[in-house]
Amino acid sequence: MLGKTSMSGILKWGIVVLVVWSLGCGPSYVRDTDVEGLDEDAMSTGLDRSDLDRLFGENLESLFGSALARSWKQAPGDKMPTVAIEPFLNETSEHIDSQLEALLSKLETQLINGGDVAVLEDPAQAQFLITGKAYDAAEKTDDARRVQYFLFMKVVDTSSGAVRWQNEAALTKALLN
Amino acid sequence: MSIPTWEQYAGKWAPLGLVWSIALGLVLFCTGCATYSDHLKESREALSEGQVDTAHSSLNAHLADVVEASGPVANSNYPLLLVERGTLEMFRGNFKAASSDFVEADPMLEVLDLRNRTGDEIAKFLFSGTVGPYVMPAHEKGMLNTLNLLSFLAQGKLSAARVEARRYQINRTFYNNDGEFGEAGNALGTLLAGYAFERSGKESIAQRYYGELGELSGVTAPEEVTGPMADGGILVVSAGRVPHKTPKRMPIGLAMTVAASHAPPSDGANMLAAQGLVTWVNFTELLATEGWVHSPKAYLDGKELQLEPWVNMSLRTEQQFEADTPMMMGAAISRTITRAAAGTAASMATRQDGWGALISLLVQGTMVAADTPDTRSWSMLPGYFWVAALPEHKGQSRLTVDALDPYGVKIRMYEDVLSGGAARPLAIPVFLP
Repeated sequence: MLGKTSMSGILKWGIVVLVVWSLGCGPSYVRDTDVEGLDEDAMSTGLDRSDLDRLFGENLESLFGSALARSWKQAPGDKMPTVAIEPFLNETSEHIDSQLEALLSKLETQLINGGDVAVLEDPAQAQFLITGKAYDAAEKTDDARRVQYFLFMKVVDTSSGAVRWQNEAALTKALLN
Repeated sequence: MSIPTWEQYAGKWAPLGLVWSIALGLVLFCTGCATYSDHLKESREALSEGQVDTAHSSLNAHLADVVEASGPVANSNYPLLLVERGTLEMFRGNFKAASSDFVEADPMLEVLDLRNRTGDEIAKFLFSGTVGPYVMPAHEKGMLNTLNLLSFLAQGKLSAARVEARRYQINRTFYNNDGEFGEAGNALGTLLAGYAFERSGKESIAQRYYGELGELSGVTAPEEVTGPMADGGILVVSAGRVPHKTPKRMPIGLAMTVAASHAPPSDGANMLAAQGLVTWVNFTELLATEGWVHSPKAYLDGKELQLEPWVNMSLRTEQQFEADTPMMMGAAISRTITRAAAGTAASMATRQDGWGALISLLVQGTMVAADTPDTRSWSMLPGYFWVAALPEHKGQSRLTVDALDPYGVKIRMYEDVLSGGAARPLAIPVFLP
């Protein structure tokens, strides 16, 4: 009896396991409102929104706390400084061009909405030029791929060529085994 | 022989029940379990007949099936199929689509590089050669970056090309630093990386790549590379395809002969061979993949260009297969011994000769069906690459590429009018089927 029970029990379990497995727990699409913490985890060694917010935040905090920004605030209304932003260069080993474009758009929005400067499309017409460059130190071993990102930004006075502000923000992403 | 009743043997079948469940699971798992090369056969043959669009449609259909079955995940054949499709897009001249596929596949394959494969390796020695996702060998990783670099140069995207050049360098450093892996570098990737930096105004970095060309082994490279490579762009022509893998069954005696040249046979294998049983080993062999055309020639405004043979990927593929053969054959023989042992255990569990023999054959037969040889590889990868530097020209130029068909008849394979000056593409890939 024990053997009969074991045999039928094992076969039943085997069939149940196979049926459940065949139904499958396949991937499904979700929204950030459906899953808590969806934006928190890193899913690649590229730059996601959290990374951009951090790099952008650090650089912008430095810019708006600088003497240059104070001089912009103090400029009379009819002589509002003009600023143009050049596309940020991607000198990394990750395809993050679209993320850098997003960063540029964020910066542009912040400057426009701040009201202290006028943002121009044509760099040749602007008094100040904001440029940026992302570069990395990327390494790979048996157990990990690590990418150390640096986002360097500076503001150049186009009339004198003087660098009026610069800052570098850094963060690291990695794929660990 | 009297057929026993179920009740008579139920008690003795408890351990056998576990064997049955596992065997049944393997069979159901592998239902419709054609090999990778079987799935791509239609696509491969269409490409060998010059029907690139048909090859693309067929592969796309299989890719859709894989996505439906397991999703677009790294832990499946999805990344490899993306690379295959991206290669076919290169054949079609759809470079944006090609780069899209390559950029999606590359990080997935990187995840697989770092994945703990101990479980997969053990299972390969016990059950099936296709356990675990496809891990791209070094030379294919290097070529993935190379083809994507070429694709970005063809699109005029210098920034993206430099990104790909850096990724190529990271892979070269990774594989060279670890003695366990082969070399990921190739002359075409090194040339294009240097060219991307040269055209970006970073001449010192470019010269570093150009200077390395002579150091790469096993490939054809010019003896001396000096100065700017090509003011008028680089033409890259490919023809043929690398050999592809196909399943093969061989008697264990022959398998041991093959394995003996690389490693001593085990007691288990000797025992099976000595019994004189016809025990089969499921293995993989490499078959040449014929291209539709060969012997390309390129002309600019009717004047023949000097097409330099640059990379022989067919040879690299053969060398990699040769290097992998000892491990693959060892795993295949091990699986054969595992099957024989499972069959013997099943036979002994029943304690009746009649039933025992039948169940032993059934268990072994089930495991043979589930033992799928691993035929995965980048089968659409071109076998041979030629390079020509295009002279600078301010006006338009007509570029043509001819090749010989299987009957030796010359066919015009490519024709285009190139813009002059800064409007000319940085690189012009012409992938011949």
